[in-house]
Amino acid sequence: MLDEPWHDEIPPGFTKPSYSNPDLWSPRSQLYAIPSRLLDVSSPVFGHTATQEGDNDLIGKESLALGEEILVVGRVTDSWGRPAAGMLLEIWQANAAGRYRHKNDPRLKPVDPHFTGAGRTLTATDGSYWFRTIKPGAYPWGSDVDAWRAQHIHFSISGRGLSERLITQMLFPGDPLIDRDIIVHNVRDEKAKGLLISRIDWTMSVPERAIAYRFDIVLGGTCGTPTE
Amino acid sequence: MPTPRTVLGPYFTLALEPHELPALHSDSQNGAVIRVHGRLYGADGKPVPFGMIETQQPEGLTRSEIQPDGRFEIVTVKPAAAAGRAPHLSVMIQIASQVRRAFTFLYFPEDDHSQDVVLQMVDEGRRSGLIAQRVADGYRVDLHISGPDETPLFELVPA
Repeated sequence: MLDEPWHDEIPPGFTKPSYSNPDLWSPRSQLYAIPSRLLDVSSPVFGHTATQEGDNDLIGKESLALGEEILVVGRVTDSWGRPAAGMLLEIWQANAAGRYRHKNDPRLKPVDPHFTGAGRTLTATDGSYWFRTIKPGAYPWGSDVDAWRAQHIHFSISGRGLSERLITQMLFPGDPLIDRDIIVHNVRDEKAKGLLISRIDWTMSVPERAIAYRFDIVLGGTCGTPTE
Repeated sequence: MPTPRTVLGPYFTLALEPHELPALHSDSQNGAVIRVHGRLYGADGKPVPFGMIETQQPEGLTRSEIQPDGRFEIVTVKPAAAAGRAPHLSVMIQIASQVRRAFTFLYFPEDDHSQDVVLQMVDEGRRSGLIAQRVADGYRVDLHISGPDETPLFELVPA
């Protein structure tokens, strides 16, 4: 963990984007190693703001969002397989056309007025969660003809405090863009790459309505299971 | 095997909105609001655009967006001290285009830091990088993610 690179390397064959400056933004000094309990010493007493019903439904009751309706389901556990209950999951994604509803997305792809692309939920006592959303379209990240991200949903996981933070992304099985994806390219361990890819879960799918994709999340290292 | 980390990307505020300390709007906190602002710089002394700074203290969590000019603003209350520690904000810096996040701690100029177990680990000549300055509307601290003025940064190890 201590020698993970700070920045993603752009795979060979791609033009380096202008927004990233890895050499100037990577720490050069030795980091001071501290046990995570020294961070947890100031853990807040209060948890997250409560989520409200419907926060995990990115389509909404009117169901007018364009694209394939899907469920995203999973369980959050720690490295020992223990359920991580009461974790806040926040997701964000592009619409079916591959456009983010955000001021920084310059692409001339249509915004879906019925889809914002953000949701949140808390994991249950067994660590499980679910979202209802549409499958995001592929998103071009650069000017090269093959500079496309694989279809993905961004995940942020929070526990009691900063030592229990994870930022990750969920990809879709069988997506031909995974082979050239810059995020996947930068996961060094071959087995770990697979952990970013969801799989169809027929037991959670809804006939004639929505396919469910399962994305289980394992918190590692200093991300412990919150107690109580 | 743990799920790998990825970059935050440019659109994270769609879901991760900046927020001040959640408890701020209760009556007991109104007189105690503090603003801690500054800029995040790279090794070349130029601002780092885009990212987020999250803070943790006994009173709760905050999130600030790092603006295109590198500026951030944390709106909170003065943290209570904990055993063996001077009052401080635990800080996580996540640059939008980077995979790893940086941890550090921010202290306040009016407090006694001589018994803080974490600050005392830092080389003496670098400690001032973690102590905010008092300014008219609150506190100011500039953070340097890299370079000659690099802010002391920490890596968490289990336990």
